[in-house]
Amino acid sequence: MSAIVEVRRLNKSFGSVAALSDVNFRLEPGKIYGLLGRNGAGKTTLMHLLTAQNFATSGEIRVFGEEPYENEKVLSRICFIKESQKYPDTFRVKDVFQAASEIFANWDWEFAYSLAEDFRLPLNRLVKKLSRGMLSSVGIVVGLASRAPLTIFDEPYLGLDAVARSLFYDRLIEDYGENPRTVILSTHLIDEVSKLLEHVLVIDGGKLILDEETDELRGRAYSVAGPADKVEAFAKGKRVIHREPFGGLTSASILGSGTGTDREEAARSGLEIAPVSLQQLIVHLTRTDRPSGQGRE
Amino acid sequence: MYTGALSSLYGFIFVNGIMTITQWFSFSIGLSVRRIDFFKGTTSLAVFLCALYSVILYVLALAEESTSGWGVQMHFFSIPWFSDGTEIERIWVLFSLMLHLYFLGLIFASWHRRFGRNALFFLIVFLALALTVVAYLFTYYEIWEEAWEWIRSMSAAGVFGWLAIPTVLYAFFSYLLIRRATA
Repeated sequence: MSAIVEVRRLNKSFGSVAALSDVNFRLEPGKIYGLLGRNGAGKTTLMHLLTAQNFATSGEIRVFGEEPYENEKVLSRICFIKESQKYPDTFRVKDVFQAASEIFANWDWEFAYSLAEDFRLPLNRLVKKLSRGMLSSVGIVVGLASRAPLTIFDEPYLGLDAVARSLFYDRLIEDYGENPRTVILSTHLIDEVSKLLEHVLVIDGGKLILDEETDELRGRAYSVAGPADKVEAFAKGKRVIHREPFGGLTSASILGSGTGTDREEAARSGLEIAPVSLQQLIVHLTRTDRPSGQGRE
Repeated sequence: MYTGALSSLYGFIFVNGIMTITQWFSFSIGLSVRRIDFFKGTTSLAVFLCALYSVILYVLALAEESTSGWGVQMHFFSIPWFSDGTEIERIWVLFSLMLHLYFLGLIFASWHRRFGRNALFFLIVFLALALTVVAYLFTYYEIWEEAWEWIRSMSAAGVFGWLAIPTVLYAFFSYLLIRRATA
């Protein structure tokens, strides 16, 4: 299968600061990717480079098999929704939709109107008069209704409440089902989106430290829950990445597949084995005090 | 009676050149528009509007002339020397000055977008110094009188014809700056 995005030996520095160093990956069509990482890890920089809104210091970027810079064929198929998107002062919400409808070939007005209604967006209001949450909703509507073959959301929900966020996830997954495309979702609300993501890329300190299918990643650790002493006994000699006590009980996340003898041992001690939360795994992998190399175990 | 109020319209055009970048560049690039398309789109709209305004100003000047200055000898749209010449020359003078100011605003804003605020500050300081030196040299070699004579000897259309050269240069360099500007 040909890659939608292919990045090789990508470097980007701002002055003496390396924002990205030697990043390599490829994205397959028709998947939802999670681009995860802490603030300042280089996520936004990477997305700016993919969309030719900024320039790489060195390295190669191919989107739809071609160089994206000034490339109409590539750019017209990318919709990049970012938190920092600027709008002209004179633009009302519907002017933004009008502009997007002229740029993106697959734009669906009906879908845009129904989304605007879901998010309670006043179409005739000036964009600069919108609240932070509503501004984010404008981006979300554009990103979904444009149905671009490569849709990129960079922290799209600043200021949105939990209801609106789950509305976004629902609409995204519904529409993705009917109109498959490649989606990159950059976020640090990992647990909220973990059900959506099929593949996870984790950036830390400008380096790509993880590029894996979500299911495989989940298989890297498991959690056990039960009486504290039994959990501790079980966890002895194993790598615990997270511990959560509640009352006399403890839940511990442990690195490893959680199969074979471990599973039997847990069952014998009356412990419950469950999948680990993606967030705990990622937090573990991106902890700054992590000794080098351990994240790749 | 002269008002000089016409110059405010020209100030407005200059500001529009700046706003093309400040209001529209990041928005357009953010919505997957190519830089070349952004440049072609905004500048062709500017050329069209400048042409339209020039024709309107010309028609208003004609009206002013045929009503003896709106009945009160007012020179608002029709100004001696500036408004001399044939129909085409008169429209050309209005148009050329307007377009020049638009691209002047555009190149300053493009420079700012490309290199940042400090670079704009240095550019302005550099230009101010350069103009001071030129003015000083003109005074030192006593060529002010000669320069004014040269300009007076030309028609407005002639002077504003020369203005087309910097206008084209501004446009060209604005595009080069925009090509490497980031959203």
